[in-house]
Amino acid sequence: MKIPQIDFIGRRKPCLIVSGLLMVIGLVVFLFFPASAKYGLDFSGGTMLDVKFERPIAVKELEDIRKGLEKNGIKASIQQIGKGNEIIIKTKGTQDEKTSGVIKKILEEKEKNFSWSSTYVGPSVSKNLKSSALKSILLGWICMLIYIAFRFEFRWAVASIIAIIHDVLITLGIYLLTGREFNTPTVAAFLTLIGFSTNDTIVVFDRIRENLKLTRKEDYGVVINNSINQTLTRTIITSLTVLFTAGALYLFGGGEVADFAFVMTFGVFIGTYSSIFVASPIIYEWHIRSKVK
Amino acid sequence: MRKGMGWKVILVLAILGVAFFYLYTKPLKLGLDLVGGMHLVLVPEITGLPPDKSKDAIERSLEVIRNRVDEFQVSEPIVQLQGQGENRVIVVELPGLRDPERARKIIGEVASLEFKLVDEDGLSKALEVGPKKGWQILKDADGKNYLVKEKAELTGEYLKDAYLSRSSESGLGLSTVVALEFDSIGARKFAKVTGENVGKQLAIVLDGKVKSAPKINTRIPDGRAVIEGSFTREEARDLAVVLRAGTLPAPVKIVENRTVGPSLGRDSVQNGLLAGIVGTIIVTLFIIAYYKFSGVVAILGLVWNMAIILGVLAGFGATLTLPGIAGLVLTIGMSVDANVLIFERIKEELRTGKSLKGAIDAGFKRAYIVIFDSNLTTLLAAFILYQFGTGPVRGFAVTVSIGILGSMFAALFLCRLVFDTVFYQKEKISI
Repeated sequence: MKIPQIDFIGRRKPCLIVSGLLMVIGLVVFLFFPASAKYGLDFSGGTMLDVKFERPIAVKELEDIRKGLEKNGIKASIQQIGKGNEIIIKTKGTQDEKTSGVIKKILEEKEKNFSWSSTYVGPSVSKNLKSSALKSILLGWICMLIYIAFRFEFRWAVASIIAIIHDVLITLGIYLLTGREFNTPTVAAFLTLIGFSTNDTIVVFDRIRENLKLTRKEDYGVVINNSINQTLTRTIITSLTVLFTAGALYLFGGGEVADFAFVMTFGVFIGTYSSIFVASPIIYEWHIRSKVK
Repeated sequence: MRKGMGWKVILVLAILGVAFFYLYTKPLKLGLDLVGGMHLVLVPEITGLPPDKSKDAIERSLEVIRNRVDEFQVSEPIVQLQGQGENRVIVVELPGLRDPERARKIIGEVASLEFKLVDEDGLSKALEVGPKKGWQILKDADGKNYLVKEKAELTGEYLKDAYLSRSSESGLGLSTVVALEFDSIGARKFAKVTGENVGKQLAIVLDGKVKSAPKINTRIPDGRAVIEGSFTREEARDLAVVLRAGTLPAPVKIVENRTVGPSLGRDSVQNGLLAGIVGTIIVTLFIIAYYKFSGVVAILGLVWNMAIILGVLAGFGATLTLPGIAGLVLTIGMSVDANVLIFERIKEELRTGKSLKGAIDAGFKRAYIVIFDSNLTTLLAAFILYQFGTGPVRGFAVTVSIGILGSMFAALFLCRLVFDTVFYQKEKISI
């Protein structure tokens, strides 16, 4: 196969504008999405019961369960998933730890055979989880910044940080808009995405650095274009293999694993895109502008 | 084969051997989310306690809870302190637990046992105008009132043993009771109290509720007593368990409870396995279709890496969790990257007109730096995740970290070895 000759740098402006817009949208979605729709149990606190029956549950029975909960003063959301035989009952906020026991009794009146898991997260725990989640994402960004500044140069580090902030914000927006909630595995997924996206950017940067050493006379834009083109096959193949496994997890993993895989599946696309269309154009722009002055 | 390659082959096989040895002798531990079980985080509510008692309340609670947990007979229960200073909590993990409701009750019960003298005659007056000074009104399970002295004559502190027993004293055939046995100091006290108060009622109070209030017929010198009441066998057994294990210094509050029924955990394992198998098959087909023979080498490295990951997990006694399985599956996709970088580089070197041997040499050498640089970022992210994460998420971080290190090793060492062996003195490469 021949090395492609695509002019990425020439198309940087529309890409940067679109990316910038999407980032803003992602940020707006994140900031203005109601907390109740945004944070899952780990971060909002509350009780969740995941119940899997051996037979599908009829709408009427679901209604009975709902009424039974109301009678016991439990304000819960009921969600039917899978083949209609699995329901998730959630109560949020400062519910008592014993709630899940009450809910289970109500369910047992309907049908004795079910497998289940129950989770209770108290308010103090959820507050802690939330702050440490935020810390870890920020720490992730800072560590990447320092590492790249150390291995390459500071400007490139800034460019790659913008790229991963871009990835996180856009994936975040899509994640929330498709009605998913944050939980601790989601944070794990986002950190993995930060790692993967930086990984991708570094492969391109590494080639740019190498080519700059080899061809000092050539135009900066040409060098970047060549570098991206030379690493393009690798970028696509690696992204595809990650996509295959993340996709398999998304399709078959179920529950929280599916949420986790969703972040990775979309993130791979956006992370791959950003190392080519965000990180590289930024170091180009920066180079050009600093030269003019 | 060239000279000096023998030890490399031996090393590859030895690592594989060690991995399988560990997997065989120390089977992988599965996390609570996979085998089912209970994960509790508890905090003693010490706000009301005097400072001298609240100081080591958490350590004492830990000790008592540990004693109680030992009674459940689950394999490898965990009871430990986590966190620092003010934020210290007690974490309890009970894998494979059958009856979480019962476990929660047994762990959380304060089990303060008190023996209090009852004033039968003063009750009606006390109900009208309130109890006299130094006395209080307590209820039993049926709501019956008792006027008892506030100061206990004897407490569970002096208990030596408690066990399930049968008694015929109620006259209605055999009934289930909890038999108590005091230590020597307790026995002396008990003898004194019963000796001085023959004919009166002595209430047995558990956590502020009257359990029973038998009449003292005679002085009891041997430090033995029974708690009667309408117990089921199980209730009596559980009560004996908590009494034996000791009293909690303060009520404990459950701040987190994650319980997974065994069958749901099994479903998760199956889903994870399915995702892993499908992912592996697609990646394998894709890589072999694209890189031909070299692709087979890459997959060989992948399998080797998987064996290393599982072997290391088993060897260190690490626990495989649901996120851990996700990490393993994701590693399958991410770890081919090192091979892809090398193969693409070799192709490029070949295009510049290098000899096959030269291209392979240069390909590995050049790819080495970028593999190192790029993988380190993922490793860094996993490390942060480990710091931040709790149980299952840590499992993910560990799996991914081992997977990345293993994949670098597999690509740079195993893959190199195969290439050096197979393509030695050849002119064409299948890549």
